[in-house]
Amino acid sequence: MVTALKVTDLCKTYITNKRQNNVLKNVNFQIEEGEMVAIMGPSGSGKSTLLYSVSGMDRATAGTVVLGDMEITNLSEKDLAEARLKYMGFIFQQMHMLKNLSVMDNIILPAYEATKDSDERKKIDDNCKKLMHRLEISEIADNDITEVSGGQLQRACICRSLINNPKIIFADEPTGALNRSASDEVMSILNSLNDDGTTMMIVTHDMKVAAKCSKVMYIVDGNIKGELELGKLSASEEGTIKDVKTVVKEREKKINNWLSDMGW
Amino acid sequence: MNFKILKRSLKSKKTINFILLVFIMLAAMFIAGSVNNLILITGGLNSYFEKAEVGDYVIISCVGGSAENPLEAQVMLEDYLTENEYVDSYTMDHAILTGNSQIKKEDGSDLELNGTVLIMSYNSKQQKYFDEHNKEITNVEDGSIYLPRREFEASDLKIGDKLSFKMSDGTVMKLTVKGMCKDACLGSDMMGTHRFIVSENDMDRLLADGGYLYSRLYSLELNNLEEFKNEYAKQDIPVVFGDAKDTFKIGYIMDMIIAAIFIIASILLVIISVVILRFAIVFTVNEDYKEIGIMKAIGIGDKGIRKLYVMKYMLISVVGALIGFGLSIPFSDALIRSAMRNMVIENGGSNILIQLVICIVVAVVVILFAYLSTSKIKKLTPMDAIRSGNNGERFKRKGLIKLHGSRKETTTFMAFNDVFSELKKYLILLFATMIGVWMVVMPINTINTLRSEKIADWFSVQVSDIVISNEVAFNEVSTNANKQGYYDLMDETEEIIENNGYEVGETYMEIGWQGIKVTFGDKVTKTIVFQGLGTDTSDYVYTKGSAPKYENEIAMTHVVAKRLGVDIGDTVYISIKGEDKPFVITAIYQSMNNNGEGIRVTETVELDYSLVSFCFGVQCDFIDDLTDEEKEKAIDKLEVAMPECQVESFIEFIDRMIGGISDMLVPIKYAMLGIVIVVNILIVVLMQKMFLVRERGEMAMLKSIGFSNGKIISWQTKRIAIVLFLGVVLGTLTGTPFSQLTSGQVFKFMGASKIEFDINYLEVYVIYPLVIFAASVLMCMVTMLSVRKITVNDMNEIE
Repeated sequence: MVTALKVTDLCKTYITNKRQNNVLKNVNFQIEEGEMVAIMGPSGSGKSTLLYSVSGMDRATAGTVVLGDMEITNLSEKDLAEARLKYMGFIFQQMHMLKNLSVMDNIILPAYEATKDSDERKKIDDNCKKLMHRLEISEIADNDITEVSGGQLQRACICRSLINNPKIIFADEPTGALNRSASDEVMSILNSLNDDGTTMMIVTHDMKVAAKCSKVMYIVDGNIKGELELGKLSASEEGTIKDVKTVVKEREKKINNWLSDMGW
Repeated sequence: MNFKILKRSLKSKKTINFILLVFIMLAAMFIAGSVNNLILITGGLNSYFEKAEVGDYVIISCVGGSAENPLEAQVMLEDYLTENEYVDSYTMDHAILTGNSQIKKEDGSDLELNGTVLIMSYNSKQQKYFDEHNKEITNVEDGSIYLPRREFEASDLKIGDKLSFKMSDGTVMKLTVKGMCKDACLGSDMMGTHRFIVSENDMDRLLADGGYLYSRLYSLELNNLEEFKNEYAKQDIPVVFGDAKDTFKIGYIMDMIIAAIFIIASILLVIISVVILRFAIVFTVNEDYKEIGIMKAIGIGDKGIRKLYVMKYMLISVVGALIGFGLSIPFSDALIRSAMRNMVIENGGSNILIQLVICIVVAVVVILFAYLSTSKIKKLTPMDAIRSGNNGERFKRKGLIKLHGSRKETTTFMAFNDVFSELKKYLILLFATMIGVWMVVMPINTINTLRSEKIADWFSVQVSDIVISNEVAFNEVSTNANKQGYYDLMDETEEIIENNGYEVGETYMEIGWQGIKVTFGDKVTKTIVFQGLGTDTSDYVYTKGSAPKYENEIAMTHVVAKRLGVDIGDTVYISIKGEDKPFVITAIYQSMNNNGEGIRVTETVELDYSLVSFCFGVQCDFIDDLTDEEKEKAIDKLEVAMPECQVESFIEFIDRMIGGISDMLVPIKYAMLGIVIVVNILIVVLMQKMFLVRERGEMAMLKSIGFSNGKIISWQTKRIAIVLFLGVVLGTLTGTPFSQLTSGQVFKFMGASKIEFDINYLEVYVIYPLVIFAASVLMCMVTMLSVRKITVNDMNEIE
């Protein structure tokens, strides 16, 4: 197994009203290539802070984060931005896009930013069209972002996160703003992408989302309290053939029990 | 409760509120200062003339004779005035006409004079004089002298310096400079004759000396000005000058240009301020949607919400207007000091009550504006408000240009796309930049034109390499009443120049007669007749017709032609040596001499050379094409060779004729540039701060997907730069027509009907627009540095 992300003694402290708030306290974990890890925990436990600190969007107070063979905690702001652009993809709860660009232009924006070569840009357009086709949003390519549904927009955001073929995708409550069916659609897309080898780290409070991941990490008070290995989601589990829905339900129950044991 | 919400609202958006406060403050300051100046300037000139007790009509008699033995023409004039039914009363004062030949500074150097010096006693009956502090000069001690501001400053004099008056017995009378005097009648920069005032005893000494040219000044109180003018025009009594009080007021036109430039600038700034205020208020209300939504959701009524916002704006407006009022007093004083430095201003310049009322009006208008802008609150449902006014409906497609397939750099594309998608949002900056460029281009065009050879056409004179004014020689020639004397003077001057190593191509000169009677049918008027000696009438520029060729042909200014109701082809009669001689008008021309007065005759016509009123000096062209530097060297050399003469370049000569206005406009140009840059920077900072609030989420998102701070700054700066560039381009393209509409009108008023500005393309189209552009872009970048503080958490603030 190759390690995609290694986090060592990661700390994050905020000073609010002259008070020190230690949000992350010596966090240690690692994610292997091709893994799909869910980060769960109660509100205020440090889930999102962990995601943003690990991805370099927020500077860690101490500790190291190594993405592949690159230590991102040592990078300058500019190099960090480049690392996010080329090696990371992001999906957020809110479907953040530039309001003056069409859906397709929003998707290709990070890729166009990464290259000025016109031949490369043609390839990016083709790649974007393929991604949109795969995520079934080809018909909204030229639409304004206000002209599409929330589910379509989130799929567009996923396309954008994939446009530069990132090493890892960070997702913060990717289904939080969607209804159940749209949420299921998005998760099946993420599973499919993971099946193709994309590593993912997903912050969620939704058992259904966590149940579709290969590993669950429980964070409380800024510390990873435990990890639950679930393995890749497939219809075949423990030697028996079941339908995926049943498998997910069983995994949900397993996570629920595990979290109860952990004290949540 | 309301107070708490208000306090929080003021605190939470302190940057936006502060900028709004600054604009209200500036608007109040500009409006109050400008209106005060407008009132003072329009009414100030009249009240100054009233205060100085200037008569309805002022005449300077012809030169000659003495106090005891007046000339026949002087006696004739007094008889005429005594008998004229329209003259209620008149006063007569003795005066002396002199110049650098008879007055020297203590070190023997010349005074920087703008024409002839008239010396009179401080207690002349004609009018009152005032010192620089606007106090009436009620006494001038023996041995003291007061000079007009222009001569005082140009000659670099200080109080206590001494001036030497050459007496005919070879002795010198020394007078100590006591200060500057304000002289309503002859004190404007445009006047060719300026008055120095001395004590009664010193005046008597000068009058008794016999070495000084004598003249008399008459100040008339009339019962019917128009009838008197018609009646007086028919007379053939020779005088140096005579005109109504209002004509002397026109001499202050250059002071008015400065005032007008400031007033136009102030009005433009007021417009910018009002537009920005509206933008800021609408933006702030939009920013408050979420708050409004929550208030609506918890049941606060529209009126209550509106009251809260109006209270907020009321507080900002009142504070802004009060600070603006405080600043408007020194602002107004500074403006009025430069605009009315030659006049006596009532109450020292500021009318505090007017300024206070205007500031209150500004505050009320802003509050009203805020009240009307908050009317949107009524239409909003709590849901609309919570969704920041965005209900998902869009009637106009955004993103007119597409990124896919584009070769543009992403931030450049985003900048262009934003501007073209939401042009309305940037119109204010575009509009303000355009107006800002106008405000700078207007004085630049005016200064460059006043300093260019183009202005020769406006004064109907020939352009020459240098102009040599020899007042002593002119006085001698005019006393000899001999046309040949002028040619001899030109030959002598030419000889001196050639002896100094410069080959002369041509020499020529303009001479003129004031108050010459011209008749057409039953219409009679008095005007100035010009004759160019050594020139060809075809060398002058005419707006209509062809140059007069023969002795009985003339060209006439459109001002005189309009007054007489004549046109090309008409025959008018000009009084020459008491005889009305017919002349055919062949051309119409423009001139700013004496506000458009003038008739040009051919060189061959014989006129009364005993009555020549003025001479512009000997104009000279070198055979070699000298550079400006070489010309300057030649001027320096010739000044040494001809110490009694004033040697100038043509531009210096013209500048002196118009009272050195172009020099005075230079600091105004820089002041304008400073104001424009400050205002533009304020607008850019205000807009950028607002964009930082509104687009915080988008910027955070861009950061998350890998855009560096530099790239985001580049996107935002390019966007502003595109708008600034468009504004600068529009401003420079329309700046010259705007100059025509504003300062061009002043020149038209002065007699130049066809104005074509001399445009320094590098200055107007490159340097100054670039300075405005660069300063604004730089400030945009500096403002955008705060993008570094934006974190991913700010994404939740996305629209």
